[in-house]
Amino acid sequence: MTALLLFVHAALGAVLLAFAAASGATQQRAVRAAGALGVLLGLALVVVRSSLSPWRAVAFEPGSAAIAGAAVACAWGLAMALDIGRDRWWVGATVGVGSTALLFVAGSTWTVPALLFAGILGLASALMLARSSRTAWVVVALADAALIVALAGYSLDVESWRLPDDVHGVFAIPFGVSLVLRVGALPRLGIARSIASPAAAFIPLVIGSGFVLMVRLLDRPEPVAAAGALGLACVVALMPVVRRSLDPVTVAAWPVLLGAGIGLASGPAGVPAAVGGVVGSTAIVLWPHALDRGRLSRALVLTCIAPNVLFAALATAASGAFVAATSVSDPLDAAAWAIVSILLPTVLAAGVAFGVVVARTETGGSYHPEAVFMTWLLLAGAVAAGWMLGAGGVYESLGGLPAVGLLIGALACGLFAAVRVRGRARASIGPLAKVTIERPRDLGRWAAGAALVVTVATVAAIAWFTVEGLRLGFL
Amino acid sequence: MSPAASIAARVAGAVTAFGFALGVVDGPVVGVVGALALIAFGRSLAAPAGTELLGPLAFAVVAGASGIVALRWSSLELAEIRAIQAVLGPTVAVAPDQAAIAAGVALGAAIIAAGIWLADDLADSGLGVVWRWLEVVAVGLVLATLFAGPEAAGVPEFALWAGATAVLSGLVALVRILARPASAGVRLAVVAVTAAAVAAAAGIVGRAG
Repeated sequence: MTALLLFVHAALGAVLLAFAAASGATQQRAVRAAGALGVLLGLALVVVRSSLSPWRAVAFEPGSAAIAGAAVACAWGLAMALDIGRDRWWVGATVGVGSTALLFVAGSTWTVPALLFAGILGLASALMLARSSRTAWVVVALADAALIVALAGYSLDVESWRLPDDVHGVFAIPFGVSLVLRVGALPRLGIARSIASPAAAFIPLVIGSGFVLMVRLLDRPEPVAAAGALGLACVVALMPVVRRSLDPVTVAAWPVLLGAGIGLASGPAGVPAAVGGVVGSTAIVLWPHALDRGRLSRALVLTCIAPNVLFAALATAASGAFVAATSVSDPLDAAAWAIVSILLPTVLAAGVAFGVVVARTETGGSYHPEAVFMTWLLLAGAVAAGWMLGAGGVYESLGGLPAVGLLIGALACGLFAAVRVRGRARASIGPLAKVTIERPRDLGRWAAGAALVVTVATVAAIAWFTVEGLRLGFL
Repeated sequence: MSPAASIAARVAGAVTAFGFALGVVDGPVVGVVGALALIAFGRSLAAPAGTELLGPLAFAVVAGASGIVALRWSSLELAEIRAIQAVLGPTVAVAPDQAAIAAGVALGAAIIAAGIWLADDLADSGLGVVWRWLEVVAVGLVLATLFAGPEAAGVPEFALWAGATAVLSGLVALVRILARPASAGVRLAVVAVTAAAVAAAAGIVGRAG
């Protein structure tokens, strides 16, 4: 079962390569068939995350499996839903290879295979980004290089080939840099620059890999880092609210900063927050392809109100932060936790404001029906993820199953009221903001050369590390 | 966009707020805050241009005031806060004086912010007049539960809780009526002042604790 879930994506990608010379319609049908299977198998990984048996050097933790499965499902969904015409077959093929690589990164128990597959993921993203954004390529290549430095250095330092539970000491610095660059936490400086290009289908895989590494290899909570991420998230959310102008490339940092901030603030909230971050990023990728439709569903995915999985995660993190702020004795720790405790409701309010502006953007612009449909599916996924990952976990902090029941009942009442008054409502809600889709200025041609050098150096380092591992007998 | 989404969010938020505040579900302060976030989102979806930011900002003030009560009693659980208030009395009346005054300031700020937030009728939303006042009562109930509501173990405690709800709802309604003629800019400025007041109160309660 585990092997099937791991390899089937690469196999689907290989099958799509055979359609290189086929007609556009045939390619479309092939990618739809492969993509539908890829989505189902990604979701299957989320569903069976707790009962996966180990296979060779792969042993999934439920949390990593859930994040990776969600990212894979989102990436396959994008390969089907984006309006990318004749590029679809090779995008699908690369997503297939990247999905298998991500799953190995998520499940490997040893450093060498994890880095090998991180390298494959890096090469696949290089293949995608080389055609769309040199800046994003450089950033992702640097993230890969920093990851090699951190994990290989740590392994050699502690003389262990097992993936660590917590990368600490001096190696935490390159590891942190790798995570920040990988998830695109710095606005306009990451893989989000490839939005509105075929490479955008790869965004969930790269961001998902960052969240997987954060959940697996970082001992959380980290209140100082959480405060930084949440503070920046507030800025990213409120800037477009004030300016009344939304640029998906810039606001793409919001869901990842929110997911990272919540995940860094709380251990139990890490996985739902990461899944929420991946789902939110995917909704933003779909935005340029669904300009005139799906505003409400997009807003509900991106804002962090109930019953979105991000709200359940935020509530869990808030409870933990409050307890820590009122119980830790170290004044610096207490101050950091106090800041996190203040930032969590602030970020909830910022999310409400951001969501309102996203919902009330100007009409007009084109839309691709599949992208609109997928945005609604993402909303369903964000809600379902809350129940699936939260009923016994994150929703526990809200009162457990009775709270889940209350929320379901409240939503049912809300929907009933909406249906009842739909005919009577006379107001039409006017727009508040406009959406500007512009490709950010890319770095010069030198950046492609630099990215290529970093990519080659990273691959060479992985090869050296693998040979070194085999020589010392890491297995 | 149709107002249906706004209505759905407002109704869902109010039902959730009543559920947590009335103790139907034993939950934390965070649950009530989440319910208010739903109301804020729903109202802002249908708010006239220029006033849509009032909701999130006022919501932040009410959430901050709720956090002050939790900080005062070092507990996020509504049932625990009510049990403490059943023994010691309303949060705004329990020594030390500094903490009590700060809690009072936070309560006042929350009442003003909530009144301003709920000032617009959103008349064409399709929801009736009753619903507008139900939102006022929902916020009043939440504030009463947090700042004065004892565990309803007997008639006197229940009467105190119900009385506090009636008084605070009345005050929110009064601010709501007074705020209606004010321009969006003035309302925003007042809510910003209440936010500053809540921040100061949080500092005092934190130090006193």
